[in-house]
Amino acid sequence: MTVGRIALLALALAACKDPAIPDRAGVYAFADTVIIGVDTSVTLFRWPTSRLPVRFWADPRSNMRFLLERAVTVWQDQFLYGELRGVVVTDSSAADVIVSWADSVPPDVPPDTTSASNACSGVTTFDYDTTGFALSGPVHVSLSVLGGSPATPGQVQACMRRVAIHEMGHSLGLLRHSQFDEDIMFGSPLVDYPSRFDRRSVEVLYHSQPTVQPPPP
Amino acid sequence: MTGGRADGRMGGTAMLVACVALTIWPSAHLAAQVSLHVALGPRYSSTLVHDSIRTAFDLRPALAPAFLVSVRNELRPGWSADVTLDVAPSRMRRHESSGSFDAGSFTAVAFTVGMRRQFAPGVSARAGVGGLRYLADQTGVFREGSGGIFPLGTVAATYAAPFPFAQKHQLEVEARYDIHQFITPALRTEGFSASRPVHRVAILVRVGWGKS
Repeated sequence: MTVGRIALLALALAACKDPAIPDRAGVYAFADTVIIGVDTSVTLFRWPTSRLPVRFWADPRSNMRFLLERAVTVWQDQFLYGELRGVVVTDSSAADVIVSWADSVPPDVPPDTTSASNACSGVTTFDYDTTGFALSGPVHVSLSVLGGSPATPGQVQACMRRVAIHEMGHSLGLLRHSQFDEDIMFGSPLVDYPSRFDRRSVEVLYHSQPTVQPPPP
Repeated sequence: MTGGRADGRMGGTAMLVACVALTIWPSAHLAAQVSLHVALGPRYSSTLVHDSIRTAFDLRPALAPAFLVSVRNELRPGWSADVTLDVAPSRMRRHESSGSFDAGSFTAVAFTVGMRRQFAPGVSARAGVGGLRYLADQTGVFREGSGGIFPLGTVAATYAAPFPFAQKHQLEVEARYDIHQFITPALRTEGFSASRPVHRVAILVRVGWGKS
């Protein structure tokens, strides 16, 4: 019968060989180095699968929660295979990453994306225990408005969106900066979203063996 | 504005509704040779994606239930044609050397047309063709969409026990195999240039209504 022949033909056509695995060129150095005594060790940190979802806490002032949720979603979306999940929690004592304003709190206004103004900055801090191979507490991220900047509130908000993603990248384990300004992990991020090299780098990171353990839950 | 196609999920839902309508509609006009069948059973699926980042790993659906609705029309003694809607929700697992990890979920919806032939009393075989679509949130391998409808080929072997109870309820046990090619836009973006054959096997228990 015709349908039977078509089915057999479809089965035969479908039984092809496996597709080639893509190479992931362009991964930048994301591991850091630390000097312990007289030794220099590679510091490679990522949140292990057993600690997912990573728990983030957002400063309740202004639109920090929005910035944080957006940044976490952007990084989650970089992964194909569920390597990372994050959730924003309301209790800072139960958080793995604490994100707060450093000093002044910018107003929650629509972002002005007409210029890539450097109107803000961020810092991510890891507290290591005495061995240097484990974190002793939550990762701290602070975002700040650059003093003396002529940027408008809208430009500050556009900057905060970029810098929030950049600092979340650090908190996930991209400890070093990219040397290329097309990447969100460039020292002073100019782009709005992770590049394909950011994506490849964080993918490789989350399939690498860490040398630093997360803080106690 | 209403009536627009909001996203891929809506398209999948529309297709699902259409398939259900096409499958169920004939049951309202059950002619002398037409029967309705419902089947349920576990399904195994082979690897969707084989990748290697530092180490090799597979993305594979977990063992999951499959639910099938068929409308069968007897053409002549020993031969019948059918249309079948096949719905299978499943979680995905990432299998690597250090363990197996959750990687999201999807529902696979397939619609097939097939021919069935009886070879011996209670023993029949079916071959069919159709299309399969993955319905999923736009995350992970589905973050840029599901990849549309994949052509699907299927074969099955069915046994109907010769007991009065089984005959009354048209009770059948079926081993069903199907194959389709899988790739998504996100995998293409990642650098995969070709699709991968996905094999699925289900063991089903079926009951029917109407003329067998």
